[in-house]
Amino acid sequence: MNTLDIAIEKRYSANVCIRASLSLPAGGFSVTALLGPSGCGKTTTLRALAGLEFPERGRIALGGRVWLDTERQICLPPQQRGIGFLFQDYALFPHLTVERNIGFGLSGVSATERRKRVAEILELLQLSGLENRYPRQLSGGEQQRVALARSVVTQPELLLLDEPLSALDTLTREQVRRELRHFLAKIGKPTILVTHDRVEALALADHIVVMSAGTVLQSAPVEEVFSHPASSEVARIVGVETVETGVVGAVSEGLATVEIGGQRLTAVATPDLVTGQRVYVCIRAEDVILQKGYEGFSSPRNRLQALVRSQTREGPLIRVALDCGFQLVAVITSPAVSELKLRDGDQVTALVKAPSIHLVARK
Amino acid sequence: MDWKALSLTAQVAACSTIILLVIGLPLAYWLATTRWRWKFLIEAVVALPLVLPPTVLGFYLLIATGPRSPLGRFFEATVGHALPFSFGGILVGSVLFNLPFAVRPFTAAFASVDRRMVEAAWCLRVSRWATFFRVTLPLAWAGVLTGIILTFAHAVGEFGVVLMIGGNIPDVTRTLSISIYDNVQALDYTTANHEALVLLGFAFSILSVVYALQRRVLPL
Repeated sequence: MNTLDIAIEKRYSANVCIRASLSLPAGGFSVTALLGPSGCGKTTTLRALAGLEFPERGRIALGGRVWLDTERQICLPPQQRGIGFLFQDYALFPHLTVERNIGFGLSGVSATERRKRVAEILELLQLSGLENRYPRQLSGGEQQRVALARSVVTQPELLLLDEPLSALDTLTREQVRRELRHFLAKIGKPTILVTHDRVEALALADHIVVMSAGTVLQSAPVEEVFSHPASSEVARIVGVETVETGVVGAVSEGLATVEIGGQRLTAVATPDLVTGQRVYVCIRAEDVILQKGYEGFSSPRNRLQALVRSQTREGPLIRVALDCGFQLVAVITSPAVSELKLRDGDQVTALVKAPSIHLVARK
Repeated sequence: MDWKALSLTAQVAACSTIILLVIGLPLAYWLATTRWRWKFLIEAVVALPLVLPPTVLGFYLLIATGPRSPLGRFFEATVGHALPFSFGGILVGSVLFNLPFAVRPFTAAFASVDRRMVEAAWCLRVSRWATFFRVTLPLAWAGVLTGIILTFAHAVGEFGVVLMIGGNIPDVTRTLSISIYDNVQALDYTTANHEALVLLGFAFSILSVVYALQRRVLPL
C-alpha cells in the first residue's frame, strides 16, 4: 500500500509558522480532506505538495519517490511530480476551447491519442458536446468539471483539489457536492482536497485532517473525527456532532426513515435520497434533549432509550456520551444535569426533532 | 517634403521597435515575476528616459561612444567607423530613449496575467519555457501589442537624443523631426508644415488604435 508522507515547515513571520506532519493512504481511490479555518495552513500544505510553495524544511515522498527533501536538497518542480491540481477558481485558460484546455498537458502524445483521451474524459465527466466552447461560455459546474478533466487527463498519481466548491453559487454547490464524489470515484485516484466547510468534508472525504494555526490536530476517518474529536479545539472546528453511517428506509412526504444501530430515526429527506442508500446521519449535540422518567406526549419524532456512558465538563456545559444502539452525544447545561440527577449508567430518553437530523448522501 | 528623412525615420523606428521587443520582453517578464528586493533600482533605470531631458541622455551617450572612451575606441576598431553621427548611433540612442515605452506596457501586461494560469500549466507538466509561449504571451498579447505600437510611434518623433548623437547629416542622421527644425530655421514654413502634418496625423492614428485596442473596439 502506497502512502504519502509529508513533514514540512514553512515560516511566514516570527509568529506565523506552518508545521504539518502527516501520513496518508495513497494507494487506490480515497479522498482526504484538509479541514480548518482560513489561514490554518491547509492551502499552503496542498501547494507544497504540488511544488508551488517551498517549505524551508521538510520532506515529501509518495511511495518510494522523494518529491522534496530539504536536507538532501531535493525539490522536484511541479512538472515532475505527477500530480493533478484543481485550482479554487479553476484557472481555465480563457483563450482556449474546452477541448484544447483539457488536451493542454498532452503535448507529448500523438494527435490521435490526444483526441481519444480527451473524448474519453469528456464522456466520463458528462461534458460531451461542450468541446468547442470557451470557458466563459460554461456554467460554474461545467467549468469545474472541465478543470477536473484537464487535471486528470494526464493520468496523475495524486489529485489535489483546492476548495473545489467555493467558487460556485449556493444552489450549484449543493448539486456539485453530491456529484463530485461520484466523479472522483470514477476517476479512482487518491485525492487530497482542502476545505473550510465541514459538510463538504463529510460529503466528499473518507479521511479528515483537521488543521488549525499551522498544525495538524487530528488525522482520522470521518466518523472518528466527528464523533471522537481528539481535543476541544477539534470539536470547536468540526462542531460536536454525532456522525454515524445509516441506511435509508422508506422515503415519503419529504420524510425519510433511517436505520442506524438497530434504531429507526425519522429525518427530513433531501431530494436525491433513495431507499437502501448509505448515508451519514449527523446530529448536533445541542439538538439532543434528555428526559428522565417522563413518558407523556412530546413533539420530537425521535424518542431513543439511551444509557449514559460518561459526562465531560466543557465550560458551563456538560457533554454527555450516550449509548442508544449507536453512540450519541448530547450537550446540556450543568443545572440541567443536577435537575435530571444524571449519573453514569442511568437510563434516559433522548429526544431529537426530525429537522435536526441531517442526512449527507454518499455516492 | 524630405522623403529621405521620412524613410530614415521609418527605418530607425522599425529597427528600434524590433530591438526593444527582443530586449524588452525578457526584461519585462523578469520585472513582472521576480521577488528580488532591489528590483526597484532596475525599474528606476528603465523609467529614467521618461523624466530625463533627451539632451542629457544624448550628451552622455556621445561621451560614452566618442573617440576618447574605451567603448568608442573598441567600437571604431571592430566596425571601422565611430558610433556617433551614424545610423547605428541614432539607433542606439533611440533604443535607450524608448526603453520605458516598451518595457513598462510589457511589464504591466505580464503582471496582469493570473499567476494561477501559469501554475496550472506547470502542474500539467508543461515546461516554464513552453508555458511562456502557450499561456503568458497569448494572455498578455494586447498589452504587448500596445507596447510595440507606442514604442514605434514614440521612436518616430524622437528629436533631442538623435540630434545630440547623430547631428544633422542629410540622408544619414536627419530624421523627419530634425528636418522640420531645419526647415523652420531656414524659414521654409511650407515644407515644415507638410512634415509636421504627417507626424501629427500619424501620432493621432496610432493613439486611436491603442485606445481602441484597450476598449476592445478592434477585434484582436
